[in-house]
Amino acid sequence: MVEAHSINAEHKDLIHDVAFDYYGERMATCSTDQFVKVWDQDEQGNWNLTASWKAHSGSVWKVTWAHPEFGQVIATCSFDRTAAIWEEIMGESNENGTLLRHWVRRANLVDSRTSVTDVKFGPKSFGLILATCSADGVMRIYEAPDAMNLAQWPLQHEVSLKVPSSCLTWNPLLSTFRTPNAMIAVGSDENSNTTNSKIFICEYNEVSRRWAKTESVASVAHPVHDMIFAPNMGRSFYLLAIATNNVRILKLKPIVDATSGFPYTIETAAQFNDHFCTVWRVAWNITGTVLASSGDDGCVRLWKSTVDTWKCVGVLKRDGKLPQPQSKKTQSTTQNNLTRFFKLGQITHPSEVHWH
Amino acid sequence: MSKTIVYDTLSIPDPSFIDDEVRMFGSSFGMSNICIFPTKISGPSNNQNSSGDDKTERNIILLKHKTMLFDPKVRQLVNESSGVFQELQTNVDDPTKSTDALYYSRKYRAILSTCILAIDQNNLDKSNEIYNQYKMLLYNLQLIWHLCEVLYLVTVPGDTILNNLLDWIKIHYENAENQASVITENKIAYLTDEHVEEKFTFYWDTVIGLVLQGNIDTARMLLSNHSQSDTEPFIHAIRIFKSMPIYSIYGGLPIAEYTSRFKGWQSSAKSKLECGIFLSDSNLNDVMKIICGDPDSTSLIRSHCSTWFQFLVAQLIYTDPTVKKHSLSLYAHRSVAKYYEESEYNHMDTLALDLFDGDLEGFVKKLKSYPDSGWSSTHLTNLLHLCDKIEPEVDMSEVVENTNPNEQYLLDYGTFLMTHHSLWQAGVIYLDYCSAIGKGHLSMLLSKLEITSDLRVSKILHYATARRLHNVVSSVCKVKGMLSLQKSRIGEALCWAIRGQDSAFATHLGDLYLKEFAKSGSFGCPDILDNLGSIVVTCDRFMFIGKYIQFLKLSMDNKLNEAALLYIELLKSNICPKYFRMTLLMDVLMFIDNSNECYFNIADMSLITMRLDDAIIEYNEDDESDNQFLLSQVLNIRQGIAKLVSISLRKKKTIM
Repeated sequence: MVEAHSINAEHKDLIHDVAFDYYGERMATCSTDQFVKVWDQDEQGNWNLTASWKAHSGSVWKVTWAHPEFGQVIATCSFDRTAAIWEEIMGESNENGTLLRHWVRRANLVDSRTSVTDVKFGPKSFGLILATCSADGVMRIYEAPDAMNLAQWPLQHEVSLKVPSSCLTWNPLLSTFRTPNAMIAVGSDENSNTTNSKIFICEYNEVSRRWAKTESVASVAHPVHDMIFAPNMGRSFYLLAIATNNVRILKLKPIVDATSGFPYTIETAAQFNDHFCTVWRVAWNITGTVLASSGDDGCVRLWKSTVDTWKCVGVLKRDGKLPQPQSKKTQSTTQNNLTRFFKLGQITHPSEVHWH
Repeated sequence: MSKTIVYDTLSIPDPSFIDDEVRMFGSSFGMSNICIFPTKISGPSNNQNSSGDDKTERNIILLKHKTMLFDPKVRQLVNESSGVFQELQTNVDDPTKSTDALYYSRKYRAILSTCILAIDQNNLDKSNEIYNQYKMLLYNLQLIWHLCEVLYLVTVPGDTILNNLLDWIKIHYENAENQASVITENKIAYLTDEHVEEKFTFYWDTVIGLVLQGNIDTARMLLSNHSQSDTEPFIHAIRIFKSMPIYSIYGGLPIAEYTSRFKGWQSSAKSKLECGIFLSDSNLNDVMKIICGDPDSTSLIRSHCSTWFQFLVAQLIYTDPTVKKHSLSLYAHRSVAKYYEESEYNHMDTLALDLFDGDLEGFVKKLKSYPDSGWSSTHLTNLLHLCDKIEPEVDMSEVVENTNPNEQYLLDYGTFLMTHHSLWQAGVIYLDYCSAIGKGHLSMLLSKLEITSDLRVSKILHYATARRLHNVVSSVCKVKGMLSLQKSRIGEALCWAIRGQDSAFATHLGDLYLKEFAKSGSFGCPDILDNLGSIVVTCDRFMFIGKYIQFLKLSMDNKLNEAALLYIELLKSNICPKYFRMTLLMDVLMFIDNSNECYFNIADMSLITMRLDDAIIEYNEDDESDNQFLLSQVLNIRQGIAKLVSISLRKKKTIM
């Protein structure tokens, strides 16, 4: 059974991204209306809007949370050619005794000359580090040398990939490989008819202390819209999910005793054509065992790895029907609480087969 | 053949998605939830025309998966079985303890029965559709588990399995027996000479039901309650019932002899049936047909059985009462074929068939998709593994290499429990038995648990500490510390830094304390600073703060001699942070009083002067405005030193 909450996002234009914090307790949304909103879940499970501010002077493409060990910090990137770091500040409590919260801009990263298309914090073991990519194909690394001081974000590295970049993802840590180098995969949505590679892998070199492009993945030639490494729970290799003209999962396996060249073998672990059209988003679950893909067919499909194979375990379909009237009423009566409930019946768990 | 559902489709009824151009984007969040939101795909060119009066509703939809095991009434199943599971695992490792698989199997089944009872008590009028469903799921599970126990865990000498199968059927299909007791306990009918068979419309159904469960004695009792029981046909029937040879493993007849006796008994009954003795009562005639193993009675038996395995056992009683375990497979397939007109097996049927076929591996595999979120497959598979009834799966997943295939189901179930806000502690138990990869999962899942309540945080820390997951401890403490810091509760943050042994974070907090002191002249949270504990050893900043507080106390108590020693020590070790040096040097003025006592020797005083000179150079190098006040104090400090020198010179003179 699935219980659904519907939240009116109150954005005045298209929502581009919804991001959850480490625990799934806080939600940040961003939109073409240039606003970023933060929602918090209360003890009853209702989601309340706790902050809303104009963050940029253009569409806000992506929003992402830093690890909570660094505090309550988010980063945004926008069509206005900037990326920004925001920190939540608690002020004095008001007369009701609740602390007043607001978000302040700690840094404005203005190095890009074109729209910044993606922004992601690195794994916490690398420190407080941030990567951005932009429409002119430059991947940038920023780092806060003192994690307790969010005002300082010097630009550390720039890697020019020369093709419009749409998305990026950091590698997680591997179980068996001795501390791997930091690695970022960048995707390009260049829509030309060339068969150029659309995925680039950049690595940090400990010796030269520089980031550099070390590999282009030849097997993906269609525009790439989203990409994400699977969280690693004891695997000795990486799984990279890709949203392109289909859903693709690449496996990057470290080469033992690699002395020169790119130290991984790359092979396709799975490919799903079920959307029959462009795929826009991919997302892993917490353990990296279920992948959600969103395509032009208006469906979200869930894929689970079983023994040696991947299979579809669920499909979420859109349906323009209105929810039951009584839930409408709850919405209108409670002004602050915009959460709505509706029941969706018996669903989604692959094994929920009924008999007898 | 079997109906397998590959996946389910869920429609999202929301007006946000009504527009065909709208795309639905999905992502996972938290432990196992899914979020979907509507958006459109637009090129970067047309995204700037944001019209302010857009009234379109844009709803973000959050989906939470709810399963049976998360229901408050079913939770006891999870918690109690985790206890049995743990007991079993520890006993397996301990050679002095017995690990009787049957004992544990019964324990698990007892938990199931209690759970079913609990559900029943909360759903007395059976109006709660969900509970009805849960009950059905658990009931079926109990049935199949019991069958597995009867066929594989109970040892039967000579492999004559029928009596065990009858026990199994009797427990799970108790309708006939219940009805029989209703009839026999009804004394009024007996006394008033009423016709029992007319009063109770289910009389004959009950007799047949009992006969089909081999419950001959009760059936005979019912027959003697019949109004016609003193007529010829009934007297014959009751006599046949009475003389039916019962097979018993212990102290009974050898199989061969029993078989010949059974055949003799049945053929004498058959001859009476063929003579038409029972024809006067058609119901009685039907019952006798069943007893004689007459092939014509098949459809009658079928109509009295709600499942094919009931049908199977019923037939065996009167056709092959000494059936061996290995021939069950053949009979089972025949029964299924006869029972179903079309071959439409459901999950339960295939599970039972696998058991009769002796295909435990196949059974275990199919049990995985039983809709109980893995409860049965985890516990039963584990039990069967431990008593060596099944070999571990050979085809292991490539995705999760480095894992013992035996552990995969424990890993899945443990991870699943960890996603629930109150069952996570049970989940930990299962992950504990998954060697290295379980530890990886545990460390990730523990640190992802929400840390809303302090009680839960201390539980998480307790579990993490016991498993030496220090990374979890330090991570949780750091997050809690940062949350305290966000609320400007520095003392609370410091407690978390101390708990997490996080010296970098402690240094930052120490700086906040010292800067506050430099400004206001006093420390906040004195009680925490008095009890710093081991952080003093691991964090330089707090080593300094500890010593400095000690110094302040000594000078406050006018123990200036000791204070002076400590003061010089502080200056010598040079652990004082840069921004605090001037404040520390100003404290030299404390040693000038009217007593004309000098607490420093010449070497000490030159050290103080040297540190002062260093500090001035440093302060001039970085020109921060808030240093101006301290720089203005330089003159005061120098005067103080001069005074001290003069005192000491005068002293020396008097001594000389």
